[in-house]
Amino acid sequence: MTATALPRADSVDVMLLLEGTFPYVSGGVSSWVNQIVRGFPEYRFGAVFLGSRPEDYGDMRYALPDNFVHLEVHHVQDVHEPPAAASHRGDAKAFALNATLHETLRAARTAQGGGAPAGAGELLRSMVPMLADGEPLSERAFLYSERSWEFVTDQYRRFCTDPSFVDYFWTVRIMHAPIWMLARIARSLIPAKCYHSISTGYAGLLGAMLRQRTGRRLLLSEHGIYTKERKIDLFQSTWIADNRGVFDKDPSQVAYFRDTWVRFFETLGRMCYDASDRIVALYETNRLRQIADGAPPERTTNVANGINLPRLAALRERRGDDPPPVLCLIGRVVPIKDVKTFIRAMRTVVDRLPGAEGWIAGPEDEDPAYAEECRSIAAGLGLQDSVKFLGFQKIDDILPKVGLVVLSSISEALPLVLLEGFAAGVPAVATDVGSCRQLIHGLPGDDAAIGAAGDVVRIADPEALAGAALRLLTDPDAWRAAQAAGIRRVESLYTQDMMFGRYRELYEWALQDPKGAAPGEGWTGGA
Amino acid sequence: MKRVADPGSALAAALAADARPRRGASGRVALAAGLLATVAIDAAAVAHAALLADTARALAIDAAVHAGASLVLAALLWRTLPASLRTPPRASIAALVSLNLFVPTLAAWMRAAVWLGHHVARASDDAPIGRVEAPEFTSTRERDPTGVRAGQIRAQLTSGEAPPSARLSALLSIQDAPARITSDILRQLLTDPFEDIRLLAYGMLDKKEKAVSQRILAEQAALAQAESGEDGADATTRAERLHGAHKRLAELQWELVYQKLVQGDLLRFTAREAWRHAHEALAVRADDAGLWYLVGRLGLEADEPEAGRDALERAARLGFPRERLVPWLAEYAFRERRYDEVRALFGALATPPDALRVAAAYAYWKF
Repeated sequence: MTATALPRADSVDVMLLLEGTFPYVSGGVSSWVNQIVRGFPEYRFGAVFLGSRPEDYGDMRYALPDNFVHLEVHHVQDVHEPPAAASHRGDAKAFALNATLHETLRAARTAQGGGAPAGAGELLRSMVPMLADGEPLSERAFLYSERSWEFVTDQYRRFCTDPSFVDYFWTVRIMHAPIWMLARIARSLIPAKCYHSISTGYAGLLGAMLRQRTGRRLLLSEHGIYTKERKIDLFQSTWIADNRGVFDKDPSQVAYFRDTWVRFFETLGRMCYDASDRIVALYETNRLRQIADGAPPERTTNVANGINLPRLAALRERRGDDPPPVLCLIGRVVPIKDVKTFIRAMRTVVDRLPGAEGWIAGPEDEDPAYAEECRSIAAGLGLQDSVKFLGFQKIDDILPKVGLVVLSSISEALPLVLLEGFAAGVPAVATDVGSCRQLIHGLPGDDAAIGAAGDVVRIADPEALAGAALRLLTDPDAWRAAQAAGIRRVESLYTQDMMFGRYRELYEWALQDPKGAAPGEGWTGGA
Repeated sequence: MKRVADPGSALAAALAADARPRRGASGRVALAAGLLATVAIDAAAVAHAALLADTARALAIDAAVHAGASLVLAALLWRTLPASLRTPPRASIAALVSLNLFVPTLAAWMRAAVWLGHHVARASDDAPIGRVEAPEFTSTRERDPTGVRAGQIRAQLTSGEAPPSARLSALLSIQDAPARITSDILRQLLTDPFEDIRLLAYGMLDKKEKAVSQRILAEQAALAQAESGEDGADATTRAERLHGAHKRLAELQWELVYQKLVQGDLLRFTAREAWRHAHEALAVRADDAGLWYLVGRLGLEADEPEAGRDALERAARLGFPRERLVPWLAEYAFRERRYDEVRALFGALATPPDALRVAAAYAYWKF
């Protein structure tokens, strides 16, 4: 990350809390943030960007809009000088509160069906001020007090199923370290009339701290489900130790430290849900998932993504009647997009439709090793001439030339790229993830009656993906019907104006002073 | 089971107990004053007895004062001692009383020495660290109740009624199992309604496939280098390298097929690639029995029955154990509906095969 002057202001209307996204990472969520900030020029936006390490990010990927007046950048894995070591006993009452909080969170997790941890919000509210330097739960108290040691050793003795105390000790320390960093950010952040977090996780916890510290409202908009994505990463990560011996090991029990990390992120999610005034999902399945993960149902709502229809509709004029035999995957070349399955599907497509081409239009610098692997697979399958890696492309240039938008992702929320393709007159074949089925086939009722704007196949199935693409590309009538359905669906349900309308309602309410109201109280908008 | 504490932990425990009792400043002043007064009274009594006492009564009074002062001094000193020296209490106090009684004021001097030693030791140790209890490990813990018993895994995974957490645990428990056994069920789970299951199943399949694919990429690079001849190796060495690279590529491509990591068109493409590399390797060295055996197995996937069967026979002629070839020859015969030949092949085996599935076929065809 290069040092460039960041915009600074004394106060803002909306403070965005962004973890690993705009303006340093490109992608769907970042585009959405950019769209929202530009969509509300009447508000002054600021943002706290939370990243992992400075070296993981390059320059900004977006030009900052004029109404984006404040930006702070922090890295949770940044090594900072710990406070000077000094032995002390520690505050009995504060550590008793800490013990109660942990018991409450543990009880909430083991309770059937999860749910919000009753009382955890109140406890957190009383504990957040204690995290400051010199206070009873300061970083110094966590690192060096006897009561902290006693709590850690007691928890280890009671719950840890891994024999290594050393690993347990350092897992606890590393896991909790960002909490004091977030507390410092919350204390020093410029005033804002409301806060808007785009995920749970660390950004969500910062949101919860700010809500409790300032009393101003907190909105949460989740595109994917942060906790779920973290969980899948953690289940497959290789850096987490498992020191159980051959006789201790129960293969059906998740290794203790792995489970501890999962619980940690689940807890961050619950705390953020508990503190949020409104919780927005992109579609119903994700809203239900938020509720299952602890979000209070009455505070949840769905707001679908929307696209700039007039700009994209103009692209239809630039295309012919019949579909060009070009399949295009528009997106970053990263594992979650499962570009390899698209390439493998192209082997079948090219076998059965000679002359067909597969285009991969997206930046390759986020995971260069994966991009290289994709290129090697294409070469290994003899597809050097048929599969083209185009790098980042403007969709306005590319959409008029393609016959199908292909989305082979293993996980998505509500992908803008499908909507953009529909608006430009391009049907899609997508994997059955996120809201792709809803976008292509429509929700039951009037939406479904519009017809299918393409096809949906299961993940990681190159043959099925190729088969669905070939059915559309080799049948111009079916293709044109899918094109018409896509256009109609996006025009009736997924425009930018519709999305801005919903967010205007949310912002207008959130910007008002809640005057001490509890999270979610006093909502005056619709469901 | 209680983990045995290491030798360091005993010391740590003793040091942890060394925390001195906390008392306020006024308490400390009162204690010091009491100590000084008692020492003074005792010293005066002892000095009077030694130097001035001229009657038995005066000596008795001095002795009584000394005994009383010893008791009070012992009690006061005991309170100031570090915790580690205060236990067991009776013995600790008795030692202090004895010291005072028989060597007047010695206990006070010893306490002063302890204080001095403690503070000199502290001064030499700059690290501002306290002493704490050593942690203990016990295997009796509160367990997560979502465990899965062995044998239930497939049922749990495919059950629509089991809670997601139990199914997730079942899935995690097969994470390290060979892909050949788990690929089918993992692929089945790619359409699971619960997204966590889908994503984890995908991740597990992808990880296994990636492990083989990366080795293929490395071997392809090695092959390209051997073919280019840029390393200046002589003809024999170059031939050895070409043979080795083609053979490893054939084996790795076969691994993708055998582990069921490729399907459909890709399976056929991969099998053909393995077939091609195996023949390239055999063109360099035709006496590789193991490679002929691999070609024999590949013939079933690459739809080359005649060449595959010939390859198995050739492996046999090069000394490959016949009993390992029989199941594959029998498979070819079975696919071509030559059932008598299947029976004859199994019948010629001297002993039943070890592999369970082959043993089942043997049992069926032999009798």
